[in-house]
Amino acid sequence: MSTNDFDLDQFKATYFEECAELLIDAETRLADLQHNPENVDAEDLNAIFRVVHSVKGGAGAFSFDQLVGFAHIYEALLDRMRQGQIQITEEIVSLLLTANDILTNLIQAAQDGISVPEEDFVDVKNKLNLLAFGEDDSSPVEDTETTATSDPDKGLKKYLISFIPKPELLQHANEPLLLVREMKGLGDLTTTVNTDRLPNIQKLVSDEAYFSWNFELVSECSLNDVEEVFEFVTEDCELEITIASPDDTSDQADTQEVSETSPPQTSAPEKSLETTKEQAVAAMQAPTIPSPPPPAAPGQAPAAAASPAAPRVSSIRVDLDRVDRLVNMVGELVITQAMLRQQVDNLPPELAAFMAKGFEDLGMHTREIQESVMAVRMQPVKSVFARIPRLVRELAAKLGKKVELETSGEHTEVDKTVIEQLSDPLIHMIRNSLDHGIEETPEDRIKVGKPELAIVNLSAEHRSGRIHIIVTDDGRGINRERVKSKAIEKGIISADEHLSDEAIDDLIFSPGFSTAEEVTDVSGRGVGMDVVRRNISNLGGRISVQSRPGKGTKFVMSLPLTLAVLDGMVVAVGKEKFIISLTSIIESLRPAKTELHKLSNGADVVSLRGEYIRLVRLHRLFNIPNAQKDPSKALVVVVEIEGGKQVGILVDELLGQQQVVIKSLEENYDPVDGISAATILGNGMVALILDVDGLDAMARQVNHRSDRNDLENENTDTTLLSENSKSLIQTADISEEKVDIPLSKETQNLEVMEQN
Amino acid sequence: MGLKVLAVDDSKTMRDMVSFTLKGAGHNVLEAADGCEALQVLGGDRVDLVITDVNMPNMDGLTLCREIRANPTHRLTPILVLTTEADGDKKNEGRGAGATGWIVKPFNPEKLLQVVNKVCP
Amino acid sequence: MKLEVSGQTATVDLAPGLDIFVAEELLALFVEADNKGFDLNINAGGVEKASTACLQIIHSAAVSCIESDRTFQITDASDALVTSFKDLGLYSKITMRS
Repeated sequence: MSTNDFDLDQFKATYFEECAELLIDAETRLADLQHNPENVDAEDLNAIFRVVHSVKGGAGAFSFDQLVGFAHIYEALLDRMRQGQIQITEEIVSLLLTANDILTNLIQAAQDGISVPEEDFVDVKNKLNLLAFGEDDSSPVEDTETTATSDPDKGLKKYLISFIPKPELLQHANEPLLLVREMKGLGDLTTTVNTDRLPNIQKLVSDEAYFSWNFELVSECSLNDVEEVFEFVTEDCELEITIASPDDTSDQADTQEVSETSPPQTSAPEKSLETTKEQAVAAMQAPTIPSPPPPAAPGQAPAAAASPAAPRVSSIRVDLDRVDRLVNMVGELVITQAMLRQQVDNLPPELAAFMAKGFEDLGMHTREIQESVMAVRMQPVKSVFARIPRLVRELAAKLGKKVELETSGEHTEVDKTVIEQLSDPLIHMIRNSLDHGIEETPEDRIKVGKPELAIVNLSAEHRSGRIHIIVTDDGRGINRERVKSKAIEKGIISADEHLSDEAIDDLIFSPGFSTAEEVTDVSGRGVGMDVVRRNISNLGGRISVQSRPGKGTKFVMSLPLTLAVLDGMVVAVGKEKFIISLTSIIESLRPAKTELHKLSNGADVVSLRGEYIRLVRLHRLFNIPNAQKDPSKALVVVVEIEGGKQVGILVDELLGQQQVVIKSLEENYDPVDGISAATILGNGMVALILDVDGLDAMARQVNHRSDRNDLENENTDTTLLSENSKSLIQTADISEEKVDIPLSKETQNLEVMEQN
Repeated sequence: MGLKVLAVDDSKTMRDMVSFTLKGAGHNVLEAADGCEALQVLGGDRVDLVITDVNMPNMDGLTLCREIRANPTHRLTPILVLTTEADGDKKNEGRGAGATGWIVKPFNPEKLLQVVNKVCP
Repeated sequence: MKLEVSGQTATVDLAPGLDIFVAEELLALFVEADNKGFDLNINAGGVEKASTACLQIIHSAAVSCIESDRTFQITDASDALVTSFKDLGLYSKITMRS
């Protein structure tokens, strides 16, 4: 193209960007191959092939000859590998890794406008050449010279192509004529049409495809080139491509004749020039190699892995600090970007519109950076799971139980921040299962007809953007009678309270349920399941238990994939803004006055589809002035709290969804009840992220001491319900009174702190 | 001799590049920023080829494909979809929506012209 | 495009752009000719561009004529059309007269 340089440079920039992405993909997949050379995913090979193919394609457009030359050989080898012509061995994988490094260097060199000295990579290039264009039967390659000169892959091949279009091919605007013409460009084409499917003119539909064809293509091109002709129609036809008699000498003589009559070289001059050049280079370089490459015959792994190319890993180790710093900086970037974005809104409309597109792109790129950086920190939970088998062995021995641990999903990935927090609750869950879940002795198990050996299963899986860690045992299940009587004894529930089985099971997470003297040596360390739940919920997670008496217990811990960012809903209360995690929000609504009720203990509830949902008045908990106090004029955000219960948070309005960077209050300030963390909004103001479970607990306390006057100030339609009329609404009898925190002051402090 | 091509992409940079390349090869290019605009631009006049991005506001590329395939005037027009994925779902979605072919990003002028020649007589 | 009828013979002047968009129109003409039992004379001098869809229709029309003992001929076929017929492997199947 005759173009001005500026535009070409633009294309180049995009090309190099894409190269970088492609290389990462290739590296990841190569790492897969390396870890599992015996069990190769065909898609990995295909993907790496496509990477190299794309790199070559772009390089060709910009005339990066050195890059094209190398990519061509690398691509050819991958093509043969994905066609199963070369078996994958450790040696080959490490050769691919080296080749990939060279490709990376060549791309970098092209970007810098320099060339790499050929001797830097000629060894590898020769090896690739040997494998890619060498003999492909099982007999070891004789010597490099002959391989470099006699090159069966370069010779003419006869492709037999059966092409039967589906009727809709033409309706998708694909045109067999163009496919034929493309093939004619590849070599010598003989076309045989089959018109059997063509109906009588009266029955013909003008845009359905009826003909089918058999093509015979004699060409030097690769199978890939032929496949590419049909790239767009593979779903719209039945296609079969076979190579008539590859590498057969008699056939070669045969095809040679054809080539005399119509030399296909003329149809693809560049290609053959390029390959002959490679051949020449290879031939020239081959004798100078000090130690000729080992006979890397396919299917054979030479015992002495004395390959000059030492095995290389396509990943690098990076100091955690550096990654953390990067994550923090990206977090700041997200915030700065959001702030700038808001400032743009304050510009005069013409200016704002002018900048809007740029900000859209900036926003997109920022998100991409953030996601990429987050992905860097993703680690398999394996590191945590790895500690469990030993724990189980030791505990089982101590308790005199026979337990087998099964694990699955250890490759499930989750952010480093979550990994760090996962260990303690997980160990606790496992301890609990072994200690309380599984029967006292193996004999007890035999008595109830279970195998002596108890099974504890630990698994991890991704589910709807979260990670689920599941601990299952096949023990005796939760003894609900005992749990209930203990809960009554501890004053957690009242004696006449009627609870569902699930609610009883859930009591084990109640504060004060397991006390010091009951904590056994094993489950010990002075924490009960209530602390476990509390810790998990501080992480934005949830833990629940399901139990079947006599059959076993299942703990499910669900955590966000990262603790560094959160998808939140920004809500306004008075002048304050808060964030509610999107994952906990069920719905939001503006209740009618008739749906608002007040319990005899002063708790506000809203009735929603026959259920009563406790209202949490943020303005009251945090002393926020000028907030909308009348729920029928405000909004109620219904959130799910632990144990699957729902509460309604009263807010003035919803301001929108936003991904926010989580700033720990513990690290930057002090823990605050009802608040899990803070973030900085686009306008630079600190907004607090609500801890909905904590809020519920606070609201209960407030209700307990709320006085009538306060309640009467509000114009809710007060209906008194009796305390027992709805078991859903339980009152927690909390002995210690906590102090209500004047939060708006704290918020101001935080702002000052952050601005310093 | 040149073709009449409609380039649909919400990114102006991308439209510019496509346009620039095609014009350089002697084609006429119409532009639209999303599917809705594309249908307006098309109106009752046929074009030789539509090149569209997938992710766009208002009307995405796949919906545009379906709209074109359902339109009596335009239904047999070749449509090329610009995808970022080299393989898999996006291509299949494109096929399902009636696309003729696809162009895998990154944008590469040579590849674009090659693919245009592949689907345009 | 339309049918020019003279006696038993209908003549069709093919459009220069014989693409898939005109396939329906072309088909309608041939169906009409078939209904009326005309011999077909296809004047193909002006064809600059052809499509598989139209070639299928022409081929089917030819087969219909031959099967019902009517004459079918393509006269003055342009290079573009001849090449297209050849490309699809149909050249040997139809007699062309220039």
